Amino acid sequence: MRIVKAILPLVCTTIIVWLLNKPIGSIPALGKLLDPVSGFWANAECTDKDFNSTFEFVELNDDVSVWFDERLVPHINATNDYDLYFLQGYLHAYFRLFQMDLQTRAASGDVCELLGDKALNYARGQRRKGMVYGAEQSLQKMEANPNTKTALDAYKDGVNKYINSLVFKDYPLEYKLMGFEPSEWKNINTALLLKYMADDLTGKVDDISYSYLRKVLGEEFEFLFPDRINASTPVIPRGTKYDAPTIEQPLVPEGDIWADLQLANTNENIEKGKGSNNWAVAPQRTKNGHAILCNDPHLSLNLPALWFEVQLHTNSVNAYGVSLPGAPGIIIGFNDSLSWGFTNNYRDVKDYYTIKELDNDNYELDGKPMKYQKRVEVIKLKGGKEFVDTVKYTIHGPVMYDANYKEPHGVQQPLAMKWMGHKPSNELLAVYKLNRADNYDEFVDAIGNFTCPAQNFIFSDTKGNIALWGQGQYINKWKDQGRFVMNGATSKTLWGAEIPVRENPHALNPEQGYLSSANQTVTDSTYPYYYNGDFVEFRAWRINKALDSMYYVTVKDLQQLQRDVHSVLAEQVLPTMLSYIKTTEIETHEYIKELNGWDYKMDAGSRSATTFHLWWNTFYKEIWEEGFGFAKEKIVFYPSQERTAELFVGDSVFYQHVQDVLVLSFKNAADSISSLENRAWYKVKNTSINHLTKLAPFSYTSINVGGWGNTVNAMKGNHGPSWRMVVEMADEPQAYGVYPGGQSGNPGSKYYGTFIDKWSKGEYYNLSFISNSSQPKEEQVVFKWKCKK
Amino acid sequence: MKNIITVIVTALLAWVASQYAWWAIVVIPFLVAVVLKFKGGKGFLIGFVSIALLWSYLILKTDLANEHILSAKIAGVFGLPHIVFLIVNVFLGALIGGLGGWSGAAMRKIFKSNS
Repeated sequence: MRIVKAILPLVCTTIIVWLLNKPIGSIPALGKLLDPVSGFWANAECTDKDFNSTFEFVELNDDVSVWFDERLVPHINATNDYDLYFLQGYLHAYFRLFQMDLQTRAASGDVCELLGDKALNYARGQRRKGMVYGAEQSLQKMEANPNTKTALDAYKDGVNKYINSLVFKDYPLEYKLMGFEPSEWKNINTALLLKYMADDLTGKVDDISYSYLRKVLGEEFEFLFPDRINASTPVIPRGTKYDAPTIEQPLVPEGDIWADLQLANTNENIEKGKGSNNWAVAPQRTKNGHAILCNDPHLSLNLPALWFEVQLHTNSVNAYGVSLPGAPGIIIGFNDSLSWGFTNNYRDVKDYYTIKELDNDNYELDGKPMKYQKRVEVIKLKGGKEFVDTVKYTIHGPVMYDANYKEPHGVQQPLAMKWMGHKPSNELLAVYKLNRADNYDEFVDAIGNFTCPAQNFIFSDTKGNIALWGQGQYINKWKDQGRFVMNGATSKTLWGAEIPVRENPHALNPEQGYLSSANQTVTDSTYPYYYNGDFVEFRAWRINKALDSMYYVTVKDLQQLQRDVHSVLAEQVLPTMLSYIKTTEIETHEYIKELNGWDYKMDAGSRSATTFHLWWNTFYKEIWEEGFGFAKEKIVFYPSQERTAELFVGDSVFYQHVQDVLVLSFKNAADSISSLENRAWYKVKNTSINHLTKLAPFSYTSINVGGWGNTVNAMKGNHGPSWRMVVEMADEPQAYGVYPGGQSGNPGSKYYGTFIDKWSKGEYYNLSFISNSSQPKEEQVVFKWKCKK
Repeated sequence: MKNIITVIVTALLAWVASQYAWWAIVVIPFLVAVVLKFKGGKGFLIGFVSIALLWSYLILKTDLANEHILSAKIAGVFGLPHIVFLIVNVFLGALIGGLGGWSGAAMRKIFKSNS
């Protein structure tokens, strides 16, 4: 009994400690976490931390120095590629390790280990769409090129050098919260990350909806869903002369080329609106006589931010800009001679085919059996278990959906997906060469390697040239090929030859003196190859109109344009809306009175912006829901906003009682507005930057900014300008930029969300580019790393 | 006086040992109580006060240097006001330290039976 009394307290204490030492459900190991020595407190970075340091890296070929400016932007000075990318890898890991790890896992679907079985459906989807397969294909090509091989290997070594120096105490906070450990970095991770971007930017699945709508709408389909909006101001200006095509556009094949989809009754709303802007203004239009280039890619707003600012310097490269943690090189930026940026080019490079399955091993093509190539995908689950999925690859790509993994619209047949992202490609080589390019020809040579995701590459140089390329790898398609789900049982629907990249649409120094892109239609109808895509027009209309009227342009003018919140949609449709409701009961409503005096600006504090947005969107939904009543159960997929606006204000009487619907939708909108505590537009749209774990205290919500997806300043709920850059191409480039985040990914660092304030106000930092000829000024260097070999 | 020295020595030992594992804050008070043959209540108290002292010091030092950037966020994750969170954090450590001391003191009963 005495022994029991003696041991009992020890047993109780041991159990408590044991419980506090391991995560329970989603609760982290509290003892470990709250320990002031090694727990989260170790991540509470001293606000006057001295980042000066000396390292010895046996891997280096030569000494390297890193200068940090006051915003903690590193300027890496190396003598060779290996050392340069080794340090870039080390720095990315040092500041952003958790996000590199998580984003790679998100790409490959290796998330169930962390998040449990609830993530399994997502994980399977990633594998089935061939993310890992595609990354492996590309990695082979990247490793076959000596330059990108060196960059990848060096980068990997740098990341791992940092990871291997860590003990629990040093882990990024998120590892401690989520209870996992950093894993070794491999070259495939970089490839996966690039595929993740490719998927994000080419990922939309409208082929199925289009197929269904064409079937039920018949001839009306082309009227409601035209390939091109007539009034489009395309990426490549109208009237640009295209060379004769070297390969002829194929004729639409005879026979059974379309899939006869059997749909179940599910629907899914697809969110639209990833977009970006870029433009370049030629010296003839600028005050200082230098070309000016601007870019603001709109992507998911997250913390840690997608981008990491850096300058890379050796004898053969001196580039500054934003890099992607997880990949070597600078993705968007400038060097001593030129600057570049991009927007997504929404030409369709992802097509679907129905597969006629014969048995578990065979499918039919041209009446003959074909063998599936099977790829076994192993997904690790929590607690050491595994989920095994066998993905069947056909001549039309992997079978993404079948009885084992159902298509969300309820397509009953197996569906294979043909995607440009499955093709071996080396986008990293494009980045590598862009960083080193000296002139237009080298720029063109560099971007020729950019296969997928296709981008509108803007260019300007210190000599005053400007150019724009709709660059990617495309297929020479027959009309409508890939716009709808195709019959995979015939070889007539196979992808044909690739269009030579030199024939991609482009413009160099056009007479108009500026070039711009904002995800709109790429060309006018004279471009000799067929394409379809998911284009938007509003921002392009605004930008082109603004640039067209601008002379003696300064950097400030163009920064102003990046902040512009003028709604072209409102300008187009609101006068018609207001004229329709004259003499109705709502005419004297106070919200309508406010709208009468509104300047179409989606300003942060604007209440009219809120009214317009809710009224128009309720109307848009109502009118198409009624119009598509027969299909309501199946698909929520309506004509574009551009087309709707065009039909609404045009002569076309496409709907009989517009007035009634307008009044009704206004009443509905007014109801929801009157229940709002604050009618200010920014409160309603709630632009937020969420931490990747979605933990609210690590996130910024309800940011005081105006704009919307269809205004130049495209601030949506969780999307927005992920990097704003303006570069004046003087003899020494003068650059300005800002991104929503901070250089450090650590929520416990004062450098975590540093730039968000300036970003939300539309202000910029002067980017301290250290040119080849000059030594850094004293104020440009706040901390130094000396890295010895 | 003796007790104050014991508390300080326990806290210092716990701090050194915490560099290796967080649960050193149990082990050290346990050993101190065994070696000094504390009775149950005293064992708990010495452990509690030592670790309360140690964690308060470490937490305040870190938190001030960090200007509360992180602790405010973590407090938010736990849904607690900042100051309450800090108190809870210290209390948790102190409690575990106290349990260690108490367990160590209970060992006395075994030795008693042997002697």
